[in-house]
Amino acid sequence: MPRILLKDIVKKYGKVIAADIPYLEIKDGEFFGLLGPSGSGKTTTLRIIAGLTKPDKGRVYIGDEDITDVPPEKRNLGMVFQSWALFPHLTVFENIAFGLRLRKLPEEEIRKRVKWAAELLQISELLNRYPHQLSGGQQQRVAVARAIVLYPRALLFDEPLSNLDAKLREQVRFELRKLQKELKITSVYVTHDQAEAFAICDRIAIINKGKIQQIGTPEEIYNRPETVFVAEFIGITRFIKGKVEDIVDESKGIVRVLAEDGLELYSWANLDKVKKGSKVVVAVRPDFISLASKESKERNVFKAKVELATYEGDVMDYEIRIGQWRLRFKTPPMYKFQPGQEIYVKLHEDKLIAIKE
Amino acid sequence: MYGERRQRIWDLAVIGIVLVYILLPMVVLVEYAFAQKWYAYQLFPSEWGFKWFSWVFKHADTRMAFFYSYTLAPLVMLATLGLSIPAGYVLGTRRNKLSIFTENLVNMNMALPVIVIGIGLLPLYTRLGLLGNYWALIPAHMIGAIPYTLRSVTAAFMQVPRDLEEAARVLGATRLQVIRKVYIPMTWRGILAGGIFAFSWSLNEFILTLLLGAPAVKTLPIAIYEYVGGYYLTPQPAAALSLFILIPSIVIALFFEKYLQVSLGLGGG
Amino acid sequence: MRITREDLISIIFLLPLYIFIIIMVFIPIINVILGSFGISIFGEQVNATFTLAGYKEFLAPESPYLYSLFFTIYVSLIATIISVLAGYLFAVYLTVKKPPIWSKISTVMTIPLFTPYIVGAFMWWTLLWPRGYLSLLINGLLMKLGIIHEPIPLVNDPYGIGILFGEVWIRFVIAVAIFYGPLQMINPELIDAARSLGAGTWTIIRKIFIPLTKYALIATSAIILLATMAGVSIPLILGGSWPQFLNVMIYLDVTTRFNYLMAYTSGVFYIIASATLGYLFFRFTTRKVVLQTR
Repeated sequence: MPRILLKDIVKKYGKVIAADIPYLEIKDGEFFGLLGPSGSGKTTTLRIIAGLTKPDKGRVYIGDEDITDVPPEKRNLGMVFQSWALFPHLTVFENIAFGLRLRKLPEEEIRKRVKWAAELLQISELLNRYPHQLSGGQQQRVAVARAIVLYPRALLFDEPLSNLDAKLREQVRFELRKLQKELKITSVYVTHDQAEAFAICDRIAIINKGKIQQIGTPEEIYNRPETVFVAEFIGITRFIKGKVEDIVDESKGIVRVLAEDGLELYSWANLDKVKKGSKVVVAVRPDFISLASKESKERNVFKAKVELATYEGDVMDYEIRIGQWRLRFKTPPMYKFQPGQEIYVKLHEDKLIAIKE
Repeated sequence: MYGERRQRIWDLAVIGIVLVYILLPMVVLVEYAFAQKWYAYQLFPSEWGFKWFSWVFKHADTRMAFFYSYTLAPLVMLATLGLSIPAGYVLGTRRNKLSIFTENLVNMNMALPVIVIGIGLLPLYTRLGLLGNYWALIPAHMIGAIPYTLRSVTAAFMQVPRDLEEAARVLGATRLQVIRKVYIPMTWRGILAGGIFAFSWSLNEFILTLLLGAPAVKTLPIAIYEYVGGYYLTPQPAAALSLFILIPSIVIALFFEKYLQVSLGLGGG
Repeated sequence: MRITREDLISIIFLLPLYIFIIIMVFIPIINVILGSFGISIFGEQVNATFTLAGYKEFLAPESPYLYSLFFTIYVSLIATIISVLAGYLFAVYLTVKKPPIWSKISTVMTIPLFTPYIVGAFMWWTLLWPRGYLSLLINGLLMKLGIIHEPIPLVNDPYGIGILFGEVWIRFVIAVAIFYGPLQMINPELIDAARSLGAGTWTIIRKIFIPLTKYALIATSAIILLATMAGVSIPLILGGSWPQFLNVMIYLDVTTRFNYLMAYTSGVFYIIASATLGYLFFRFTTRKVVLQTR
């Protein structure tokens, strides 16, 4: 299965930049995610790959072939749509066979391939039904079967799970990933749901306002966000604003940050970008914080005041305040602090991320 | 990029052809109306002016046609509304079997050719001595207008939430107050649209006026027909006359689209 | 059964409408039907004895009425096919390509919808009569190509060419207006899906659009055919002296020939035609016009 390559892609709608991608390579056999808020340009990017949207500038390659000017019907890419886009007047069988019939394959071959795809997606018993007789989950499977039955060069997914209920969505994620690994088809997956992208994709590109903010594995994206946008978009993130006073540990990348209200804290930073004296924001997530004892003399231990406490069953969710900074913090439910109570917490310096503003 | 621009050119070509097709007859109509001198061997008129418009007004026949057309239209509008508002109130607020039946009945009338109704009415009008009677043309014009007007009025009443009337009544409003405070503010657009529709319909009505009114009562469409129907070879006065019903029709329709957000179609048989 | 106050209000409010329909529609229709058998409610025009003479004359071989009926159906069918086909394709074009300039000029397209038929017919007459631009252009072209040797009449002609021009102008726009709505209701991702599966534009029209809008197509064709057959103004102004539309025959029968029996008989054929086509229309518009999943 070939790679997909986008080069110098620009697409504008009026003055709004829908996509501005100098270079993006999706590797052979990879499950690649395009993650971003709605209107970020992720769907535009996918449609440019599919050929459904023409870029104003730039080239699109599959393998070594330049497909920029190839119409979508000749690209042989499988696509799964948000609404699944099943043809309402055709049975499940005819929906899956639609592309095969257009290619004028012999009837026997069509039957064989539809059977193969239907078995793979466990919809063999639904072949004679019409789309409106199927549940959402079943329709989604038919849409995937219809896309893979053509042995496409790549699979494109446009938020295919957003119309499913939450429980089913989680189950389907794993199935999709399994299927993709089995078929080894290069796949691109568009979603605005971080958990979905993390569960399914090998690598993810975070997109905002048409531009790629960061590309990396889910771990890299979560642990080492490169921009404020990525840090904010992924997980529950709060920020402490300040200035780098000192570089404390060159090899581990630890810096000392003086916050705007005088709070002094230690944080990890990418030293290629953050220098002494840089204005930074320090990203803090609930899992970067742990409880500490009052007597602790360690670095980054602060007195905090509980402002809000929410019981969520498996965890307690707190909003706490350190100086002027409000942070989110979670504990197992056996700890129960009341609003107004004072506690001591430690911010883990190797997890905190100081990002240049 | 390149493909995009080619697409735009295609769009312009396709839509341009359709536009020319739609507008060409109208442009030529205007040309005829303003052509003061036009010799048979010339492609275009040699002199432009308002001669035919004043010609139209000089004739007693056409002057009367103006009078008939533009007095009948508001009368038809009022009469149609008088019939449609109570009926539309019932059809719009009570969705029972009677309402559905009535709607289907009215819709069925729409499918009947006007000429057939016209020849059926002819003996009735003859017997009652109403042929060529100005007032008797009002119900004739209403036949075609009622289905559309009634539909518009019914739709307006349907939009009034049922519980709003009940709430107002519970709060102690009288029937009259309910009508003034609840129904009129919420339905006037639909009623106005329906009324104006009846107005335009009457302005355009042709075949029933021809059968039941002419020659005693000639409206503008009849006057136009008399100029062209008899293979009259100077179409200029007919063109000038046509503008007097075409332009109001267009203005009314634009008004509809813009302010009432209703689009309509009518032709008048 | 007890009549409630509410029922009473309904009846009182609907009564004028019913009286109007009975006097202005039902009585005339009954009069036409009975009149075609020679029975007259109002006396005068027809002998008051039952007769089938009207139908015999109508259906006789070489009957001008039968010929007119066929001419009416023939010309109306051609006009319907042209307008439905062109209107459908144009509506599909607008749906698929979504040309940005369309929103600015779509109002212009509605002009024929509210042009009085008599004016619309006359406008085309000015283009098609021997001195009309279109007539000069088409005849000039055909003569240059050597297909004809002298100008052919394009209006008031025996082939119904003039009627076709006038009818198509109005019906085309009606067809676009009717088709545009149902086509917009088709999930645009269906088109994208079909394309990604390898379907070109024609395949999409054939395999997606037409099956999904077939009821709208049938209903629209029925209503347009009915309107074309029934409209008097256009054949009256653009038609020739012979053959004529059946409704023009009816008009001439009552105004110049005073042959009420034949006018009523022809009227019955119109009632039958409109009942059939009206049934088709209502049957398919009450059905789901567009199937959709979502």
